Amino acid sequence: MEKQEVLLLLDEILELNPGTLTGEESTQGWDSIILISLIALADEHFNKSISVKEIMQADTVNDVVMLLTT
Amino acid sequence: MIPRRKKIISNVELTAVSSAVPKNKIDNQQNSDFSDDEKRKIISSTGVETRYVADQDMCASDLCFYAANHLFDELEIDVLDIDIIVFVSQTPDHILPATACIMQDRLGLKKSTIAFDINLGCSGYAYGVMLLANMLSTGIYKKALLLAGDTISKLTSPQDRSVAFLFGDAGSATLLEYSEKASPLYFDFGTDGSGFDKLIVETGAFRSWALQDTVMPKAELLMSGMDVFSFTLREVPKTINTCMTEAGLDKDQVDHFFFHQANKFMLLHLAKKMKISLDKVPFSIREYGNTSVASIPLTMSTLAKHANVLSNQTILLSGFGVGFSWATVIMHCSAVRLFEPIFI
Repeated sequence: MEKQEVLLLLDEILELNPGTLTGEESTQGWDSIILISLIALADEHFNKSISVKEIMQADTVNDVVMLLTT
Repeated sequence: MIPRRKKIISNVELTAVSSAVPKNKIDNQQNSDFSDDEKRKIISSTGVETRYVADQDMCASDLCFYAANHLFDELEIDVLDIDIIVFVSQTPDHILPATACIMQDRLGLKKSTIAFDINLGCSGYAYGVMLLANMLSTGIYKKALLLAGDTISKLTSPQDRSVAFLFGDAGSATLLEYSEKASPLYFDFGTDGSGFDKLIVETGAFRSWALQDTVMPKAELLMSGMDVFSFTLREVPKTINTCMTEAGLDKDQVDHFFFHQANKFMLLHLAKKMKISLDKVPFSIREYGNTSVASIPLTMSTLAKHANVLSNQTILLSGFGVGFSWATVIMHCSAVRLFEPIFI
């Protein structure tokens, strides 16, 4: 999946307008509901099980995109 | 080498389920500790709009007591016919003795009754069904009463957003009986204790007591929702698939999937992932919240609004969470009497 498509999925779980995220944003302040949605997104769209530890290590949206797509 | 035997139990029927909840209804929208936006997000994610919470002097055993008496009255059962009573809970009356012993006396059961407690939550109901089915299958005992109840709301901090909106209280009573005509029951259970601290009440028992002076701090439930969700996605599809394989069934042959009502978002995701039609997944979480060990029998009991007998149906019960512990049971029911929740 292209980075742009992943960013659109992340826009959705963060309740942002489509096209808002660029990847440079920090993940600081993401609450547990967002993180749970991220685990669900990884499972549903990437068939990938991501651990809480991996999520915690992602500092930026770009890191999250890497985590999901590699 | 001894060949692996199928996980199968014969000669046992689950015949009736009743439940009881406290009258005190909490509307999560009225919570004043959180902003409207936070409340909207939490309610939308957990799916819990209202829940029923026990007063200070009401215990899980009290709710189970009323549920059991309701069941006895409706079925016109002689209480002296009960051979085994099991109380599954994480909120017992006392550290000791076992609440099941107290319940033997309160319910007027005979002195030859076998009585013991099981300390499990989310997976506890399916554990109780499997253990009692095993005990009954020999034919030595004929009738068993499974009491499953919790008052987890007493352990939650109103300021902790991960638990403040989620838990309701409930008790239930289930009757299991020896029957040579019964269809077999299949099961799959598992444990991953490395997740023990992801859903935990640390205080109030002896591991923490050794670190304290003489006064125990207030017991409080801590939960890492992310870890619980991650665990659920990892283990629950496996246990359900394993149990269906054991039973030689595919999901189209199961009439009802009774899941532990952990969190609506989680259950919807699970059903979608496993391609289970939502018509087959009853929910009680919107009105009652996550009622811990009581959530599966309470959900069954709420079906009584539409049909008070589950007749000739194949049902799957799957509980998963605290421990981490999981338990799945599949059985074909010839006729399970369901009684609507009563309010105490």
